Amino acid sequence: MENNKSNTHDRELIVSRTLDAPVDLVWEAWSNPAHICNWWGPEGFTCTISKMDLQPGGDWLLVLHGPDGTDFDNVSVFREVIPFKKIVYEHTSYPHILATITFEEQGDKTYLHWHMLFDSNEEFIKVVKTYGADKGQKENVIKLNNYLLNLKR
Amino acid sequence: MAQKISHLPKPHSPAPFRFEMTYLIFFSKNICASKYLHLYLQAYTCISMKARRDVYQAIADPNRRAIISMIAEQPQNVNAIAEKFDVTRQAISLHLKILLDCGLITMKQKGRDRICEAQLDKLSEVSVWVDQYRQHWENKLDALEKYLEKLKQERHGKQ
Repeated sequence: MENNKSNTHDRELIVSRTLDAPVDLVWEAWSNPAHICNWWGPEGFTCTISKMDLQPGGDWLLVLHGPDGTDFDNVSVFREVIPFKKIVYEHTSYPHILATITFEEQGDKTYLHWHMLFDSNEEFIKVVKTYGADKGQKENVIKLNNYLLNLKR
Repeated sequence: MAQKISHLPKPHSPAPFRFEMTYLIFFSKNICASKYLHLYLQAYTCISMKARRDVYQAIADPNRRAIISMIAEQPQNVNAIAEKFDVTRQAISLHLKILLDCGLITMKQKGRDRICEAQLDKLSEVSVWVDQYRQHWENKLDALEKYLEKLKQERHGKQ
């Protein structure tokens, strides 16, 4: 009965970008803990990586320090690592996500494809909703939504 | 008689006090009011239900998602929907009730049939949330892009 186009379409998030940098540099920025904290955290956050064992089964411990002093532990395990091509990690702390990042060389540029798979649609919606609520943007979202609905009419 | 109903204030929650007052005034004026009181109560419950239920709750259940995608293609009558699912009639009725309360479907009586129609505008509420979350990840890519630019410049400078 469920839509069977893809059995993950309602619990995944995909972002992709063609980056203006060669694949070895993108790989370095992604795989070297000294680099990651320079871009990983959201605006206003800093981060500390206490462990990053980039190999299948290896742990990755990253702590995000929020602007208000709150620490957010991000515990992950690498599942698959193909240098300059692919990284698969499982975010084992909440929310549970299986992330697959592929690096595709395009001359001097790199196409980065980032796929995040949640356990279920329920879980995905919960995360998405909690994220919005945390941001305190619930009202704005509702306003925006009303605005969009009005545009459609 | 029917006109009298319009004298009632529009039900909005929470207003039990106002409701009781209206009920007393109305009831004292018209002995048949109880007939309409029932309608009024129904409307009142419906609105407070709507406040409690939201679109996320509606799509939290796989059967309800299946019902929505089924009637999104074309409106269907309740019996046709119930036949296509492997659950009891009562379960389907309950799912439809929840979808109705959440505003994701409307139900129209057509002769003997009750036709359910999907109201998909409501679903965009979810996609707005998802877009917002997606932006969080897009920001990460923005930051990576910026950082790569910085790295390139640094290395270029050294050469």
